[in-house]
Amino acid sequence: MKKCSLKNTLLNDLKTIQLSYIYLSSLNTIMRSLLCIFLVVLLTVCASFRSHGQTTQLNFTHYDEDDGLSENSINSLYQDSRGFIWIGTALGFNRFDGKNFKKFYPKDLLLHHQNKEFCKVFFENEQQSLICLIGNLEAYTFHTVSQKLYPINALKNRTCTNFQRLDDHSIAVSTMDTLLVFDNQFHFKYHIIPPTFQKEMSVQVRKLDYRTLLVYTPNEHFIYDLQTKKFVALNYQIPIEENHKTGFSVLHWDENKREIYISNYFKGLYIVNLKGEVLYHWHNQRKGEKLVANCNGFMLDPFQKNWAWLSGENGLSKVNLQTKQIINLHNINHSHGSFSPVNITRFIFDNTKNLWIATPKGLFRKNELSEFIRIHPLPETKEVEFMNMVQAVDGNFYISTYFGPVWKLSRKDGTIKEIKGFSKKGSWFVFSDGAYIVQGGSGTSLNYMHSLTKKHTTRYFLDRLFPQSDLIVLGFRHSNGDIWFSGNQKGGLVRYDFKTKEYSRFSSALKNFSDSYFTCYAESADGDLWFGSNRSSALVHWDSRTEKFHEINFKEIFTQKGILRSGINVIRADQKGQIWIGFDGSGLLQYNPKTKTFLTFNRSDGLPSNFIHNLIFDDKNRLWIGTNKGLSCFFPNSKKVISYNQKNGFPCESITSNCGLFDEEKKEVWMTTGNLLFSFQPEQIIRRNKGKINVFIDEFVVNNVSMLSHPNAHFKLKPTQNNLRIRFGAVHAHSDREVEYSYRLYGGSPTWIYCDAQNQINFPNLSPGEYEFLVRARFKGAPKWTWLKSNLTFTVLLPWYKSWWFILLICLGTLLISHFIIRMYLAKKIALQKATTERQLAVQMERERIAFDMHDDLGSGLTKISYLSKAAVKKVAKIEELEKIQNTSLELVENMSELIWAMKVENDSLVNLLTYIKHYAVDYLDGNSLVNTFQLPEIQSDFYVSGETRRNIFLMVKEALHNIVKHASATEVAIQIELNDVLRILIKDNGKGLPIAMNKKSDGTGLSSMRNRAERLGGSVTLQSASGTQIEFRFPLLNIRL
Amino acid sequence: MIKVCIVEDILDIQEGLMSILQDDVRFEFMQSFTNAEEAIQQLPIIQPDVVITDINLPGKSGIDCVAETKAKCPEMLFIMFTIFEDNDQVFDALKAGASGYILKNTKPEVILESIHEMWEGGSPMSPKIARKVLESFAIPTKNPVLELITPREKEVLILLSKGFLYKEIADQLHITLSTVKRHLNHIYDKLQVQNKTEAVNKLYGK
Repeated sequence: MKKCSLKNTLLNDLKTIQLSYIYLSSLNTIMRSLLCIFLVVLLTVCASFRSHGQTTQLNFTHYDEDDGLSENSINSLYQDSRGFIWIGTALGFNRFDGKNFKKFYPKDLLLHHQNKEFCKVFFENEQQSLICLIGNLEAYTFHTVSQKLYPINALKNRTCTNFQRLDDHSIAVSTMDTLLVFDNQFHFKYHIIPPTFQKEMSVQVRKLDYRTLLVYTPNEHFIYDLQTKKFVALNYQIPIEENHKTGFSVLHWDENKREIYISNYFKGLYIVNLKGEVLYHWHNQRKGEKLVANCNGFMLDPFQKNWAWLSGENGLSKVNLQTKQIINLHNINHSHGSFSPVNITRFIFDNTKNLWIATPKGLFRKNELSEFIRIHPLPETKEVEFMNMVQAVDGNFYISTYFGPVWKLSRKDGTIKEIKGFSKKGSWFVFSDGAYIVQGGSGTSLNYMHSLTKKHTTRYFLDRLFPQSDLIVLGFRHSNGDIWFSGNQKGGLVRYDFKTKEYSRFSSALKNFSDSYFTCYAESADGDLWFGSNRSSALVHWDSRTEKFHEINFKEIFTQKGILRSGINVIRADQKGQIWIGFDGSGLLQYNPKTKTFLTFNRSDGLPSNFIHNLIFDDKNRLWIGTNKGLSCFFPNSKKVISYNQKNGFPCESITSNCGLFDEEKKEVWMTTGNLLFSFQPEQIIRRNKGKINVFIDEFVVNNVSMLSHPNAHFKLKPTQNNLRIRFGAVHAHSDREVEYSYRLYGGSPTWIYCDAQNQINFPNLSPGEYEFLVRARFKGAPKWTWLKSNLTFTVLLPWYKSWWFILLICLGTLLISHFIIRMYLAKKIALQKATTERQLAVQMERERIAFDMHDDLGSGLTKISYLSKAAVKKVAKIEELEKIQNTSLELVENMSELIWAMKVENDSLVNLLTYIKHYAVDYLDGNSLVNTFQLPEIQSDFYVSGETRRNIFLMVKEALHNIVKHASATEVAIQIELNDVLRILIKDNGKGLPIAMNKKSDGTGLSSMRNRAERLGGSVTLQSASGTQIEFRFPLLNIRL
Repeated sequence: MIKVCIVEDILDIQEGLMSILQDDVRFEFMQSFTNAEEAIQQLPIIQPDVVITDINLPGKSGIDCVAETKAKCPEMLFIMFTIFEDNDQVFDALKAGASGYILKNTKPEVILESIHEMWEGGSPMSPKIARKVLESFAIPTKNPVLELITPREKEVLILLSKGFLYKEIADQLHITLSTVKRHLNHIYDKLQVQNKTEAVNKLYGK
């Protein structure tokens, strides 16, 4: 944006001509062509007007294409409920938040439409939709939150020229020859067709009261009764020349006075009543005062009663509706250059009552302070420097200037006049002493002027009091009548005692204080004086009762803080007796003389600068501080600081003079800087700075798709919709101060994250959950945050594969499947076991069958043989062979019995084996008359022993016993069975023992077969032959418990 | 003189046994049968003291013979004549009322001793049979009549089933060998009672 840039550009832009054609369609063709010529104009930024001898400076901030505006020729302006300024141009429309323009182009918003560049915005309805005209005057609504454009179906294929609110429930739409009235949702209510002679004219309306409307085309005005539905023609009693027939446009309706303000291009502005009688007429052309031409805008001043603003082709005018006084804001020369007429298409006051102006050359915003800081131009434009300013007995202000004369500012009419007769070489001070105005500075002479007789005298008495000085840098009159001076070149201070009429001198040489002279002073309420010099940080105190000096030096304090520059620019005493000192580079210091304590304030406390040049207390004890960075207001109680600079419309960059005062009568602060003298009313300025920030969510983009529809909408996002971009902003149209933000995402991070001026945050890959996005904004450095009114809430849903029901399903599924697998496995295993068992069973059955067969057939057969042979023996005497047959058959039966025992599955156990062995052994040995013992341990747990193993073990024992009976010639046999890891069978006899050869291979006792059997079972046989024989069998046991 | 009858289908064996018996003065051989049917019919008439019967017979078995005849003549002593001791049918026969068994291949002197011993009141029992007897008495029944076996008899049975010899059992229980055998005899009697009760129970579906 540009400040106060003065342009005088020839504008011959086709677009602008087109725009004016549309906007001013109610004007006739002559007017249009003339207008085009006027459009050549323009551009100011600094407008000012004169009133009562004082000048109010208006300055503006200018925005155009370079600042982001879509197009410079603005046709419409509107501030919406959120504070945005909407700007319609010939090429799209814009949203302005105080800092940035956001451009909207219909061709982007309406994909299927082309060549729709013209946009005009009207107003916002209850649904936050902006009514606008697009392209060839087609009606649309633009939803300001979702930022989408919708056609108004009720107005399809109609050429609309204007939209107006008739009342809270009605919108009037101007079309050719017909006025359409709709409700807020654009449902048709009724239409009004005025009985015009001239057709194809746009019908406008203005509500007069609850039942009457002013319905008009440019040339024909009617009063329409809503109840009787009758038109009454309103003919103004204004003579119009034939070639000036341009019609009237209605600017304002004064409800109370029932007066209409109408304007005519050639004639100017009229006030008429409802009978058409002219009540007042402002001529377009009048000497000295010139009304803005072709008035097209009228606004009551939001601050001043009875004042209205007018806009037109060549700028702004301000009109007093009571006195009919006109203040023109064009073609006035002032110290900042010439002001060129500007064609204004529309102007509005925003929600902070600040002025916005739409022109074909861009947008202008009146700076906050402008109009409220009054600049008082000096009659002479020569460079001067203000030195001091006093109010004399006559009530007028006297101002001394360096390089310039003493000025008298009349309190009656505000005029500034040079006082003739005083030195023009420059004065350091002026003060009022009774009826005299005293001026001094250059040299040691003083000039006296009698304020009534205007008679000048020059006095030289200071020559002897300041022998070394060539300048008197300070001179003032104490409220008790004493007069004080300070001279350079170690001049120190001179006091004229009002009571004794004597002069006394104090100086550093006399050790009253260390400074050689003083440039500023303050008188506190108790009459004490406080002096300071721009050369040191020492404050010198004159106690009026003891008449002694006392020096307080702050140099050490500042040196400790690392501040080297510490001259005193200004000293003031407040109503409570506190002394305030403005340092050159060290900020502000508050000194309490009673407690001798002090407080310092500098940039870290909110002051814009540490170079304090002026301090002025107003009647509310606010301290107005002039620094090299502008004006600040300091509230001593709250320590709050409000600062103003050129951005706020403050007229200068810095304040470098301590010249100024507070006008108790008019409650005005007067200050100076350079050769600028200005004044302001504190109340007006403080009020101006109030302005709110409105925080808003601009975009809510999910996976590159914009989602925003409503400020309170809650979004449910799919699990994949987790890449978010949130853009936010702060509306502060009244000020272009820098804004800073911080945000918090509940569900993301619980703390506020400061993001400075960045207004877009990306949240990639958000995990599922509930979120709440909060954002707050404030002007940089401001103490309070403004929060987003309705938080943005959204939920990222769990993906289906993470939802509880799916996990449950998976669990159940896993359970079910594993259940089936286990079942299948078990079934297989069981089937396998069954098969094995069946096989085993088959084998067992086979064994049983064989056993049975052996038993029944072989057994009985052999028995039969034995009985037969026995019978034969009985009959045929003793035949050895027969006896052998008998014995053999008996043995066979016995052997078979053993075989059957071995084959029977039910006998497959260790206990069975050992019992069998025992019974056999005892029977056999008893039968052979051998004394025997059989030791069988109690068997705790039975083991499986297969039939074959059983048989082999039994046969080995049987063999061993057989050998004993047959060969050992023993009388006693001891059998011992032990069972631990292995089965150990120990058979001992007391026989003759084994011959050595018997251990060899070729023994005849079947020992080798015994060994073979044992080895086959993985066991062993050991023979010992000492006294008798000992045979030991060892067999491993299959660890199969039964 | 102990009156003896023989039921044996193999005539050679029948005759062999007959001749053994006839040689001994303690026994009076009365008659022999080759099948159970005839024996069942004749035995109650003949009224021998001891019947030596084979198990496997054509038609009705030796066990049937024991069961049916014992019902009519409870005093008659049945000895099963079997080739192998290790025969399941022996137990069934004992249950049916037999008092003991003799292996066919036993020496004639031993056969005669065994018969005499049984007549005197002793009964042979193998560990296997002892186990089976124990098992049959271990089955709990509702009928208190069935809890016939005395603790002492039970002790004998347990020891026997564990493979202890008669003399060992006698030693352990401090009784004589014949007492052991008498106990066994009583057990056989009770086995028979038990068997009958079971049959009745089965018949009446109790």
